[in-house]
Amino acid sequence: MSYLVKTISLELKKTKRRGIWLVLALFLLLITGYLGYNLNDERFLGFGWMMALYNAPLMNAILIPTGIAVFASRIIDMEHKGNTWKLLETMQRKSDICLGKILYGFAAILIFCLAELAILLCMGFVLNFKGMPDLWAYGLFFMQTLVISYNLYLLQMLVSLIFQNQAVALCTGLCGSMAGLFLMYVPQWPLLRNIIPWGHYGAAMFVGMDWNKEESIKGFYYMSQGNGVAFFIIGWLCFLLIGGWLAFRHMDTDGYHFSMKRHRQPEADGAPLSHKPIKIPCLPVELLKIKRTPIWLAFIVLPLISAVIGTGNYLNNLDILKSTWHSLWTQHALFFCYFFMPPLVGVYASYLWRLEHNGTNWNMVLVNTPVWRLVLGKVMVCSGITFLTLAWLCLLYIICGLYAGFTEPVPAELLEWLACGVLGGIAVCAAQCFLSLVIRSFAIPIGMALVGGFAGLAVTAKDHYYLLPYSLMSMGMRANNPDLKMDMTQFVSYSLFFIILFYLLMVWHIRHHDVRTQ
Amino acid sequence: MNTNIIETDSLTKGVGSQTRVNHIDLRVPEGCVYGFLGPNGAGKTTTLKLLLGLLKPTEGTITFFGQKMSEQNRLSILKHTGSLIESPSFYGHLTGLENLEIIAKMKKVPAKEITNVLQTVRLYEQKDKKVKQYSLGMKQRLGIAMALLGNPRVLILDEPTNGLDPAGIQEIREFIKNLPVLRQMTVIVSSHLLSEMEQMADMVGIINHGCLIFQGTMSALEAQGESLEDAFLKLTGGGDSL
Repeated sequence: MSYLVKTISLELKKTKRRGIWLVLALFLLLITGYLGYNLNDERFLGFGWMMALYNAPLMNAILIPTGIAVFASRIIDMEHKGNTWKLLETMQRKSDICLGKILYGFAAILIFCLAELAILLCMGFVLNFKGMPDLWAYGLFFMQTLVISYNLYLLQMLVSLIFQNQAVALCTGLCGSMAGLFLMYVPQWPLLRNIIPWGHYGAAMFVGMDWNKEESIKGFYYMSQGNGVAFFIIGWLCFLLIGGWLAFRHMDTDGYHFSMKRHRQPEADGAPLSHKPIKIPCLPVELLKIKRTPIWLAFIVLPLISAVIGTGNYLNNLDILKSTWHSLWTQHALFFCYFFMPPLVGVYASYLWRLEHNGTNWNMVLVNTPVWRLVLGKVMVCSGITFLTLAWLCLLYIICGLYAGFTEPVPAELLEWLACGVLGGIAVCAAQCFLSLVIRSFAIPIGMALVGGFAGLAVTAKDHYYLLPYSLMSMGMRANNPDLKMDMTQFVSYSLFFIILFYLLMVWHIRHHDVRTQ
Repeated sequence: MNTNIIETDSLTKGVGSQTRVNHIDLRVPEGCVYGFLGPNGAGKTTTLKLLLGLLKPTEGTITFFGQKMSEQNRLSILKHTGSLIESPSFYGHLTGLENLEIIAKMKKVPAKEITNVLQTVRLYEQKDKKVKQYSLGMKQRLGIAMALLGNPRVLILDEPTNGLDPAGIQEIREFIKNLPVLRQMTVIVSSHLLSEMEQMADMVGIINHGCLIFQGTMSALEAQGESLEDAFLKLTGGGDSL
């Protein structure tokens, strides 16, 4: 027992001042806020306890995967950044290092799940839900959340360990989270929901909603889980625990190397020497810096998930979704723009600034480039990738529409949606670039982007979408309502305001702060 | 070696007990190798960062090429300088050549200079290898190559022999020593190793606890004690690590 306590306390000490617990607290706050807002309605008090059990897995599916990706990345990345793996191995067995990370994650997720359960129960009593909570059901919900979230932690920990570039881990979390959320709405594909660990929140749900268009929510009921998800959850847990241990065991002293796995010796005397005459490339400097980076993968994969599952969902609900192109658009864009695009832009921005936060690169950059140009370059590259992502989403939308057999022409407004989405997207880029400049952590600004996406949804619900860059992008894309007519002057002026504001803040920040190197 | 290419007046960073550099008046003559010497933590890197505008001085002024440095003219002045501060800066996922291409593009330097500097630091054969695969010594050479790009008038090198093997140290020393003659450069080189300075510097400035306690020629330093080491220990109090 004392060994376990010692192992956890060691990890706790290492993560001091890492803000890890703040991340979990922030996500808990968000879940509380959303559920409180949703359940605080007299019409629902009669079945409040059941409704909470219906809504909580949805929030968990949206928030926990990204939160856990940030959490796991913070825990593993500190060892990569500090180059501490080789030091640890001289003092601890690999099994101890592995156990430390695994136990620490378990303790954190246990506390998170207990806190979530306590919040749900407190909320019920404060809001005066009728009757008493079904303790068996709440116990089951707690256990499910604990094991599913822990599986995700183990998975994210592995990805963060294997790929030193944390963009890979964060993008994996985002893509998985998106697939899991979408699959909650496609009950026709139960196997897929069971297979991917992010889909388990939806697959394990045991409360259904009695709803119809005329009477809205009529009540909730328990449903049986005959889909065998428990076997998949336990299977993943075993696989990830064994996989985690194997990954630690095979890790080299200075991190994980694919070249080692492929038995390819690093070239001792250099790569094959090119005799081509040296030319200065004509591409902008900031583009040259992102050569050979995996950042492009996220921009291809995430819209693809949105398109495939969105179209599947559309085709399975043709009796409800009757507006062809417009209905398909909401299936493709709604979740993507509000919940996934902001963190994805966050990944782009974090990656771009991490290039300078690494080592002593600030010393080199700031003696050779004017600050205004450096910041402009970062925002432009981030905006360029954002444009490509949104354009890719639109292209997939057209392809999926044609596949679905629409005979009507592609909506002419699509170009306007894209243009407005990109303008709002540039505002998000500027905001995220600012956060990633000021906060040197790779993962924290991405978590903040997800929170921003939610906040954007909240201000949009109150008709104040222009108050946040995140909602400007979603509204620009008409993610929740393609028929919406916007006040363009208001939209453009607020977008420009945010772009200029964050640009100037970045320039000011660099000019008025001493250079900090690692 | 008469005019000063760099001068600082009362250059200060920090206040009270947090003062890292305390009213330093540097005088770096043109065409010399200026050795900036001091124990670990004495304020060498902070001073060099102040010279490059990477840190904002709390007090004092910096004059480069007769021009007082300000936020407005900082980059136009630094166009004529090359620097390697703390440790080499690089993008590990790019090759040595690609890193130099980025610097050349920032400095607006023609491509042929890249070949020159690669050959100068003997990295030409390794130019197509990713920098994260470089050894510590190769990274250091790359850092020096980056500093040399654009044939600057002033080269500021912070402990440039870190991570090099004895042959490499000797090679870099000889290289630095010859820069004023072969390339008409002025070099400021910091180190905590007295022996290193002895072999390459014409002028020396000694800093301890943020204060410049000696500035003059190497022979003037020697005159302060029985040997250079004696003189250095006397000046720095002898309690700190060298």
